[in-house]
Amino acid sequence: MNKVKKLISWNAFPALLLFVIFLGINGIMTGGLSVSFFRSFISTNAGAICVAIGVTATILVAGTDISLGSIVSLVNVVIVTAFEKGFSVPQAATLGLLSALLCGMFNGFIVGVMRINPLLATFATSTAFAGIALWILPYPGGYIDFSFGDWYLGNMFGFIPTPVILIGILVILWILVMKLPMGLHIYALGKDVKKAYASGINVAALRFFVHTFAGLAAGIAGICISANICAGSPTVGSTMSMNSIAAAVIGGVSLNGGIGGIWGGIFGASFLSILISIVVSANLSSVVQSFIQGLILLIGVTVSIAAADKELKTKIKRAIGGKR
Amino acid sequence: MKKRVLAIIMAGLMAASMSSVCAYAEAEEKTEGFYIGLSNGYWGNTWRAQMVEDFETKAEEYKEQGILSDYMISNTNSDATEQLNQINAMIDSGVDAILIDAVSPTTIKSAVEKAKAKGILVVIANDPAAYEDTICVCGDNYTWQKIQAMWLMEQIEGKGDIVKITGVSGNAADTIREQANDDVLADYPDVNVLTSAPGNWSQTDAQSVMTTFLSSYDNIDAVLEQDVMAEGVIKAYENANKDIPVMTGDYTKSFFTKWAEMEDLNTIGVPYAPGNATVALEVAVRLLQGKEIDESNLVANPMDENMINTIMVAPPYVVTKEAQPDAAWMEGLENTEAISLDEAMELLKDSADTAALDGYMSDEAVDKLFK
Repeated sequence: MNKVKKLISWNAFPALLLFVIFLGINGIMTGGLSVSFFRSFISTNAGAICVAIGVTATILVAGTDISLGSIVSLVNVVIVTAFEKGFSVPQAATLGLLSALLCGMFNGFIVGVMRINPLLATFATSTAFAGIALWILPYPGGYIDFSFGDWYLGNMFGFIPTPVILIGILVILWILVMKLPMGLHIYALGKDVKKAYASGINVAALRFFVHTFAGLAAGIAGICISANICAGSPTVGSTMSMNSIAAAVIGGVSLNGGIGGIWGGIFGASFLSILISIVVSANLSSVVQSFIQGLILLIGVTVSIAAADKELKTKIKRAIGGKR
Repeated sequence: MKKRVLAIIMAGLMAASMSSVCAYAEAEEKTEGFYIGLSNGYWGNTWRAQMVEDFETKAEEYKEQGILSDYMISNTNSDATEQLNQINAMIDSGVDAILIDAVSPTTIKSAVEKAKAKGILVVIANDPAAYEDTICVCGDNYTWQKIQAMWLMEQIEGKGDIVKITGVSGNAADTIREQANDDVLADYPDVNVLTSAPGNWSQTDAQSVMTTFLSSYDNIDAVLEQDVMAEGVIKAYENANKDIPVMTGDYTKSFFTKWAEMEDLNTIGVPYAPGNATVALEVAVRLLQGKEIDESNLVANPMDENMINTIMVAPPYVVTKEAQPDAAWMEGLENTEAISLDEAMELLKDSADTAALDGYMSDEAVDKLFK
């Protein structure tokens, strides 16, 4: 019973529940969930999930990052352009990943060291990154060898789909960070910047780290998307930034920082993605599709916030009770 | 601990999924009862709303005839990932064919591959995109612009100073349209293009460009522009208080209304019709019925010259003040009707102000594309 209770009170639980319920509904509507459904679901949405993981990390320290979508676009055009310039696929992908890391570090530098408000800073850098992407590849086009797509749509170690591994890299990295003192510091910083600073936590370094991590996540997302489409499009990630923040919030991550975890981002993003499938499978008239999608989303957000709120209350009670 | 519960849930899900793998029975050659999906990559202007509406009208007609058992439509606002999800959902719903108007011509590869692997017919609709083993049915930008340029040259009798306002530089449609302009103008050495600037298919941009032109040049004999920018050009002339020379025009109801009110305006309206996607539906149904396209009707894909898989849909109408069916620009256009301004106004009488003059090929006309 204890386990169940713990699961229910988990921040990410509402999002997980929503995802599982809607997955079930989708299965009923399309007459059973096939393996091929899961495969295409994960390969299409791995990018969105990675970006959600990245943005969750920045939200946890009471910041945010709205430039990740632009970084995804940038990675995409870097990979395509590098490949066409004669680099091999792995080299091109590495270049893409490096450029994403650089972007993340740049964000981290501005937010952490220059101490610019993260929303403003990443709003500005998002325009800049999107601009660079457009500069490198002004029009959709180009192509990457299909071996890249085959690798991505295939398995690693025999049976695990490649996108799962790519997401897994981020998850494992984050779990490792959480095991370090740094993990605790991140939550402390998210809860209260001043107290964290007063306790000797290196705020600048932490902010630098989470934005770099977010950059890495966007880089992996860029690889996922590039491999999935095997072509270049300078605006491919443009809608991902906002979607990822929504995903994190649905996943029980508090925009005020310090509450939630990357599982929230993962399940939130998965729920958002399955929602799209549901609305299509329901075969609604095109005029009401957006409305229904928005309505379900609104209900989902409300439910998850309400659930998280209850926990907030108990936590506050506990905190007050503990201190006094 | 919560992770263990999570693992149990996940394992349960996977087991459930394994047991319910759908066996896709190979479809018999059938001639009716098809299930077709349309994935529309942009949904934010009247034109696209009209495109979807046209598609629905025709699909309903086919449904009544029994040719379609059902159809589905999904829209996204330029979100490439969302479109892939939507197409995947359509594939899992068991459609026989998918029509795709892609967010961007390059972003739908994985979905196209998946559809093809399941034996689903993929037709690229409205905006060109190049994928192996697909058919592309898109608007004929070249002919569309050529008609207007030829008309303009006839109006100024092949000589004079003209200005050009282009669309969004680098956009595939704009490149093709400008190619058509260049090809037509090449035959008229006495026509001098004073200047050319992009108006980004925006009324306001076109207005400011035209205002600049008007202050820079004393004599402009004609304005060569593309569709929606026409009203911006007119406004620039009105603000400068100058007489509007002969110009190419737009094809929305509001433009035709304005034209009808302005006695002296000499212009032409050629619709770039939202019905293009409906032609894609008509083609898709015939392909599903096992008919074959006559290769002579296929041209190179605008996105990949080596891929001969494209049906270009010519404009349904050419609107001039008085209908000119025998004009030089009508030559070879079997499916295009020359109509007068009054007739165009009559066709649009029940439409909204922003609606485009619209039409699509009849079933008989589409049949002619096939063997």
